[in-house]
Amino acid sequence: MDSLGSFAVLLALTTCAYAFLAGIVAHLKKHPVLRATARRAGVVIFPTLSVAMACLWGLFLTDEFSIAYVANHSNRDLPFLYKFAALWSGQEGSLLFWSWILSGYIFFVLLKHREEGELRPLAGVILAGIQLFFLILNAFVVSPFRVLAEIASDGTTRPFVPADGRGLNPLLQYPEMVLHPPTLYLGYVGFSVPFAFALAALIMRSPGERWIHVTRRWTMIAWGFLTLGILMGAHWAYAVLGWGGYWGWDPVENASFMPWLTGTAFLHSVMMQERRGMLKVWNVWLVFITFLLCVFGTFLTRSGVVSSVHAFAQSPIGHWFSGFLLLVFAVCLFFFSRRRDYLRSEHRLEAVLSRESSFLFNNLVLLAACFAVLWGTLFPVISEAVTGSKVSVGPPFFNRVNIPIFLLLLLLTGVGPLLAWRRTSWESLKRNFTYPTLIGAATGALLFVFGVRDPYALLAFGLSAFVTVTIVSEFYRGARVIRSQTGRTWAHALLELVLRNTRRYGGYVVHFGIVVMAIGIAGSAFEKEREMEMTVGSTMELGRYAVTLKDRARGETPNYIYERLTLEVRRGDERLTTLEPERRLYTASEQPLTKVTIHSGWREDLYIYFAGVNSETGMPIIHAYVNPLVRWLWIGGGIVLLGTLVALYPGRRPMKVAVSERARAREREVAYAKGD
Amino acid sequence: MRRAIEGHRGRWIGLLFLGALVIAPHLVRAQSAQMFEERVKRIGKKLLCLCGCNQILVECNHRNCPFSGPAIETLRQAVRRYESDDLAIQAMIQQYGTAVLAAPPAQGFNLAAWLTPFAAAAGGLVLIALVLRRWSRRHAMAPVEGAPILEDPAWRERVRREIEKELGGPS
Repeated sequence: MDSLGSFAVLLALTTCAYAFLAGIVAHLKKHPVLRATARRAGVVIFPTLSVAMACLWGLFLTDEFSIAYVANHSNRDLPFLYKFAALWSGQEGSLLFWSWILSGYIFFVLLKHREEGELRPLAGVILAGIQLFFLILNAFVVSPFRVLAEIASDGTTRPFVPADGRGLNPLLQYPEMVLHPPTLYLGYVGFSVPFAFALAALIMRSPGERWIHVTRRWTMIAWGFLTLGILMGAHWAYAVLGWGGYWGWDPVENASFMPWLTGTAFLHSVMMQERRGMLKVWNVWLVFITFLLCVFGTFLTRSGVVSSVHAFAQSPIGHWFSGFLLLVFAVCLFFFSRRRDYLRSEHRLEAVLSRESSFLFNNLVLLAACFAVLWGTLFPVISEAVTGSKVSVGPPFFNRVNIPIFLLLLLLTGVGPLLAWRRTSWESLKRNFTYPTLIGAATGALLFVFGVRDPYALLAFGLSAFVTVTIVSEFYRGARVIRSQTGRTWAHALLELVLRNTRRYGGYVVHFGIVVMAIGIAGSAFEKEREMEMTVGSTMELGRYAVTLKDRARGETPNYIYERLTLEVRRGDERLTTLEPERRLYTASEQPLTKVTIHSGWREDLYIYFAGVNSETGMPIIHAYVNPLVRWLWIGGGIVLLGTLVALYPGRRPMKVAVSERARAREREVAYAKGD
Repeated sequence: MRRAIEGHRGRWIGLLFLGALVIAPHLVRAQSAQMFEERVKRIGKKLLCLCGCNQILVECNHRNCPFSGPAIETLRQAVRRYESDDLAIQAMIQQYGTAVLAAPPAQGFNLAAWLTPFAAAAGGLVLIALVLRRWSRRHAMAPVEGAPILEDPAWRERVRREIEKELGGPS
């Protein structure tokens, strides 16, 4: 099976090389037959790599420990689900997985966009170029099909098959880790598609916004997957790592967050190009930077240039990635310098108070956040290079720098949609902002009266109320117009409104999700924690909760041995639940893991961690946290994804307006032209 | 009788006083132990675990972590020795280097860590202001041609299309 897998990777590499080279020649010589063969070669990569993936999965499921990658990341008693997920738990497998996802994107792009003239073939060539880089790594640098060997006493090497594998890292043996890497990779790799079309359009001096129309959905899909991947990673950190938080500003977390920020900026600024033919240079570079940051994220994970809790898969392939990054950047810069004439804006800004300028500020804030994260991530390396001494940049730095930036972004989330394209009059500004501002301020004041003193939390809650009112008013106004036109119920009118322009109203749903997430994040200002050594029958008081240790037991499963505590949780006289935190020792890898238990509620989570055992007394030590509003973060994330799905759904044209309503429509036209 | 009762009361008060004298040091010790732990935690949140996990020192929960356990013990000693938080932190820096600080100190080259993001954002803001100014100036200089705005059929058509799009045109 390993030979078939290796052969499939080599075949995919050859096919990809053909697709790349034949595509370039076809483009230069305008050779239609060669172009068609290059396209077919590009399509074939996906099924070929699927064979390689199936082989690797087969090797894991059949416990083929003669293969080094399988022996290092699996063992006989590993549950089926984790044997399946073990494929992307290490360097070699995750890079093959990356290649496979990329080939899948290429497959669909080449089949879907047949009608895009020369743009699609050239984009296909660029995608094949990216694919080629990863396939070279898969085939020659970090092959997952390498056979284990040992050196015999006579100095020769011979195959070696261990009795059992070393097992999967216990931190990865969690249901979410089955889905977190694939979703994150779907996001990372997905940005290759808009990158390829943007670069192809630049090379071809493709007129207009064709590349943006082609890639809009691809960008949203990639962004949606990246969002989901980041959220799953945060939830995994919360539920597995046991430090009570979900975001630690770890370099690899930052690496996934940076392309998310630039991708978000692109999704906003692209509207400027579509509607007004503006910001063409900006958009092209946003796509380039987003893709480069995706590769940079992989570079950070793999190179070990910065230390990280995600050091599951470090190896000296960092220079391959740095070389690839430099090459891609040089190609982008070269074609930009040669073709920038075609990127001139078609329109100019008419007023500072307009939707256009709000997009500009939104982009500035998103890029400032991205830069702050990048700067903080790389500063230890920069500082060491300049001063010779190493400094650390941890959560206090990122929180202090980024919280003000994100609050500003939250404000813009509410302000932007209320500004009209081209020009906004003071009158409409007053009309649109009075209620949201009053309600936002009242929320902040009310919370202050009820004892909230953290300035950032007050601002976050006040701004969340402000943005929520602006979003609700947008839906209300739109639905009211439809109701007046059609006489439908509010529910029907709202549905009709969303279906008429799914992209716009899906975007508002995303904004609302961000608000809900902001509320959840602001809750972290009020967390409480306590650590206590407990005996059976003793009780720990924390916030509104009383946690009593009822039992302490030891046991084993085929995969690990464990020590389990049974804790009864009460709130006042009410018995809430029983929690069972564990300390485990995985037998194959001999690695320990602590299983966190969480009692989650709308108001707060009670988060309990079995911190250890006092070596002198032998008594268990419990660390408990009360984390307010965490559930809102996950629900907000779900709303963001729902909004993305709505925005992806094809919108339909508005229903014909009844003749009797035309007069009213004309009134609106006149009001609009006056600047209201 | 009355004297006997008063004698009893006196004895009880004496006993209570004695009890308070015995318990008070324990209470004070418990309270100071709690304050000590809070101080360790407060200072520890400004420090980083250097085992590679990138977590705050007092939040590192890796079992048998080679760094956080001994470092927290060193921190306890420093907190016992120095009344000032700054001196305790200095003691930790002397032991483990500046890398133990969770955020770079705002001095020397490390000041760049704090200032650069805001300087970059301010630079971006200035750039946007310049672009906006240039664009709006060009717009203001553009000649006004043709009919008044609402009587211009092309303009009306453009407005109509945009309203339609705004209220639910194709995405």
